[in-house]
Parts: sequence; C-alpha cells; structure tokens
Amino acid sequence: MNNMIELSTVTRSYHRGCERIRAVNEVTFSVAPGEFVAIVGPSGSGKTTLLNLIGCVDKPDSGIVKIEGEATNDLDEAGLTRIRARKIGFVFQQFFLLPTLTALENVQLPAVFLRNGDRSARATELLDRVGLSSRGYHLPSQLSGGEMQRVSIARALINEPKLLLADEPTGSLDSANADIILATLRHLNAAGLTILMVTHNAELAAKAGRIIALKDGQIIASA
Amino acid sequence: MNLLTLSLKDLRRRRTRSALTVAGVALAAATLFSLLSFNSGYRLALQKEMSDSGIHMFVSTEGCPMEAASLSLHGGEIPKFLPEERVPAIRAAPNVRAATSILIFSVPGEGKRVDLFYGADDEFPKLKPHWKLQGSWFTNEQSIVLGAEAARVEKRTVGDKVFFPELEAEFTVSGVLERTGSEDDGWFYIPLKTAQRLFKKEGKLTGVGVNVANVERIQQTKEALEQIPDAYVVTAQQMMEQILKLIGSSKTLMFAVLGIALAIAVLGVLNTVLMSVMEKLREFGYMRCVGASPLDIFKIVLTETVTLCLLGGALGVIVGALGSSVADQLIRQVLPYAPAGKMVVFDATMLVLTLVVTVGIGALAGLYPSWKASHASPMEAIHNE
Repeated sequence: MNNMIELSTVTRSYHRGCERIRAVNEVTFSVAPGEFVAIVGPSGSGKTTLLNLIGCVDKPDSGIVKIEGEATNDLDEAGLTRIRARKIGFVFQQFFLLPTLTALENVQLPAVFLRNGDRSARATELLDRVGLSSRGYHLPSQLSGGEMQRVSIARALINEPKLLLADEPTGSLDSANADIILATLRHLNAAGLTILMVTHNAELAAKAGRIIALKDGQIIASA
Repeated sequence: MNLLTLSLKDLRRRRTRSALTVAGVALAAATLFSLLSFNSGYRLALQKEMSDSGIHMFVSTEGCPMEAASLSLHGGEIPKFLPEERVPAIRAAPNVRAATSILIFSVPGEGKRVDLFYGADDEFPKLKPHWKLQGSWFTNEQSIVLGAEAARVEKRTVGDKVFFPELEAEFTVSGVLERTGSEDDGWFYIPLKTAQRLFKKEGKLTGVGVNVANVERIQQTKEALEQIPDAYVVTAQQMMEQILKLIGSSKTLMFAVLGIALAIAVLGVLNTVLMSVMEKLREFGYMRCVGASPLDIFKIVLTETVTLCLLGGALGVIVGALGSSVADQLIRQVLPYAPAGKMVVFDATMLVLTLVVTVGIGALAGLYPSWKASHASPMEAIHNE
C-alpha cells in the first residue's frame, strides 16, 4: 500500500538578493494513510514551503514528492491542478471564503471546479458534520472566526480528498474555537482522513499522532 | 452553482462600479444603435421624400441645378431663374406626363421663423396624387393652400383669411393639406402669377418639376430636355446620389465620434475589470489552491466582462430606441441635407448587430484581465496570508 505522502531528499531554495536560502533542505519523510501529523518549527524553518510542495502549489529544486504514490515533480500545471482538486483539501489560517457566496456555496466551490455535479446535498451534510447546519445561507461576514474555519474545513472535504493540509488552522482563533477546530480535525482523522497540519502551537501539535520538527529547512526531530 | 453563478455574484459585489461600467457601455451602445439605425433609415427617408415630391426630374437654368432641385424639396432662394417661355417646350418633350412651373421664395416671419412660399401652377397637384386636400386648389389669384403644419401654426382653415405683413398681401385659404409627414407640410402654396408679382420675378421660374410617364425612359427624356436652351436637368436619382455624397463626410464624422465612444467604453471596461482582477488576485490564487484551473479563472473573469457588456448593450438598445426621436433631431442638426420623416429607423438586425458588437468589444477588453487573473499564483496567495 502506498504512503499518502512521500518525500525523498526534497530541496527548495529561494534567492533573497544575492543570498541563496534553502527553505527546505534534503527533507525525507513519509506519512501513512490515516495518520495525523503536525509539523512544527519556528518562523522561517520551512514549514509553509514544505506544505506548498506537498500541496502541489510549488515544485522542489531536487528530490521527489509523491502523493498516493504519484510523483508530482514532473507534472504540468493541469496535472498539479488535478491532484489539488481530487486528492487534497486545504484549510488556511485566514479561511479564504468568498465574501459573495453563502456558507453552503463556499463549501461547494471546489466541486464546481471539478465539474462534480450538484453537490449541494453533500455540502449540506458537511456543514451539518461541522455543526453549522443552521448557518448554510449566511454570508461569511455573518459568521464568527470559528464558524468560518469550520466552513473552510467542510469546503476542504467536498471532493472527498484523502489528504487534508491545514496551515495554522487555529492561528486566527481564540482558544474555545481552536478546541472546536481541533476536535473536528481529530474526528475526521478518526474517520480515516490523513491530516498534515502546520502549527506554531505546541499544545495543538501534541494532539496529533506524530510531530515532525523543522529547523532551518531540515527535520530535527520526528516523534 | 457553476462558473456563471460565481461571475454574476461577483458583479453584485461592486455594484456602483459595475453600474457605472454598464452605463458607459450603454452610452456607446445607444450611439451605435442610433447611428446604425440612422444609416439605413436615412436612405429610406430620402427615397420616400423623392417619391413624395412626385418630381422625377427638375429643370432649372445655368448655375447649380442640384441646388435648385433641392430647393424644390426644402425651400430657399437662388439668384438665377429659368425663363418661363421654356415651359411649353418642356411640356412637349417626349415621355413628359406633367410639368409644373415653380417659383420658390423664403420670407422672414415672426421671430426666427422663415415662411416658405411655393409659387405653383395648376399642373402642380398632378405631381402629388397622394395628397389629400381639404377644400380645393387655387380658386383665384389671392387663393392660398396651406401645408398641414403651416395651417396649424397659422391657426387657419378653409375659408379663413391670412395676412402676411412682410408681403403686405392677404389671401383666402382655399385648401389645407392633410399631414403627409414630408416637407410639403410646412409650405404656403400660392398661385405662380401671384408669386411672380409679389416677388417681382415676372416671367421667371426657380425651375420646372417634371413627372414622366415611363421612368424606364427617363434618360432619353433627360437628353431631350437638355436640348432646350438654358435648361439644365437633374434627375431625382442624381439628386439622391449627390445628397448621399454630400452627407458622406457628415457620416464619416458621426462614425468617428462613434469610434471614440466605443474606444472609451472599451477602456472603461478594461479599467474596471482589470482593477477588479488586481484586487482579487489573491482570491484567484486561493481558487487555484482548491482546484480551479487557469481556464476556469479565465472563464470567470471573461464571463463577468461579457455580462457587463451584454447588460450595457441591452440598456443601450432600449435607450437608443426610446431616444430615437431625440437622436433624429440631433443628427438633423449636423447634416447638410436632412429629408423629412423619420431618419432613425431601427429593426431586429440593428438590435442584434449592436449586441454582437458590444459583446465583441467587451470580450476583447476582457481578454487581458482574464489572462492576468488566470495566471494568479496559488503559492503567492498562501505566502501573503
């Protein structure tokens, strides 16, 4: 059985002026299906760059990135779009909900791009699953931060991905809402969803099944 | 929900900006619709006027026969006159069914008004078989026949007296024309001899209007008439061609203004959509993250643009149709020759053409913003978070 995520000596560098910075430096690790992994590290340690590489929004300079056994290095833009649409769900710190769409429509958005037919029933079901069944016809401006993040989690699940990438999912929330989001993520993981979460929050990371610590673009601990 | 819904919802997000852009497009579309309608309507109006005049050709003297001919339609004065003794020869020419002697004068009336006097003989009604006359043609030398508009302005009807202080002459209304919708409505028709006496042009004519029996032989008739001394002949067809040439430069100017209006509309749409795209680049990047392809984003933005232009085009057509009489008046003021009757005549073809052009230029204006949006980087969207 393939790993859900597999990275082999992956390197990604950036230029800042004349200086070359290795944001991710020969990183190798894998995530099995159904795992809940937290990536932690200080600012500039390469967490978000790593998430971008796994999420197919960036490509490595060297090394191999595989999602469900499919190497993404050589894929063209259409191939990367296909993987993002079908295999991966994204949850962002700032939620990114379209302000003109209701909660229900925001949840359906990725299905629209996948031409996945009418997914309103599934969107309603997902909103129900994150405890927002009564808020489906509200605009984002009428929702609290915690509610918006739950809508964004429902949106990430609309195309039934096997992998959920969460970038500081509780970064903009108070502790009560952060607990609700974490409980939701754990519940989804228990149902079989693989989750890779980037966070500063050590308490949050401790709730994950495994923690990978990064520093200066390299893994310094994995437990 | 689909890509169209996304586009339409986004348009509602910035209502004022969208409404202003639609208004700009509507203005250009209304101009386009009016000018296209004018372009086809003008020729029809001109043909109708020529036909209503009943004059197949106009015989005048040396000088500018075209001017003399146009006078027979619109009024005015020229300094050269055809001797009246040429009329029997004109009437005797082959294929001539009727020939009417005409002396035209304009006299300043009250305020800015100009009274147009048409000195005509008893042959004149034969050129106007479509006329419906209340009362009768001239009964004596002091008779006058009023065009419908002239009668309305003078508030006179059959049997009334009408006095013209500028001529120091009084007439009795023997007949009033029913409205024809042509220039005929504005004239004062008086007997030729009376006109020659009042304007001191005894034995002189502005010209002779000729109606032929067989229009297919009009060229031979023209050649025969040109054998008469002093006679210069212009056919209605020549007049129409000359008039169309004359307004050619005015049309060019109008279409140049239209070009500018369209260019401004294109730039307005481009500016609006591009500004909107720049503001939403991050959103497009996020959309890419959740599975949108570059083509999806391209379609969303292009649909927004086309929708704006379609709304503007539809509004423009409605405004153009409702304001056709205003457009008619405006165009009339800049034309060197404007026939009576409606010049702005629209039909389904004009409507479709206006919408196609509006949407076409809108799509053109939307290409760059759509391309720009489709290249939004998902990574930059996340980096900026």
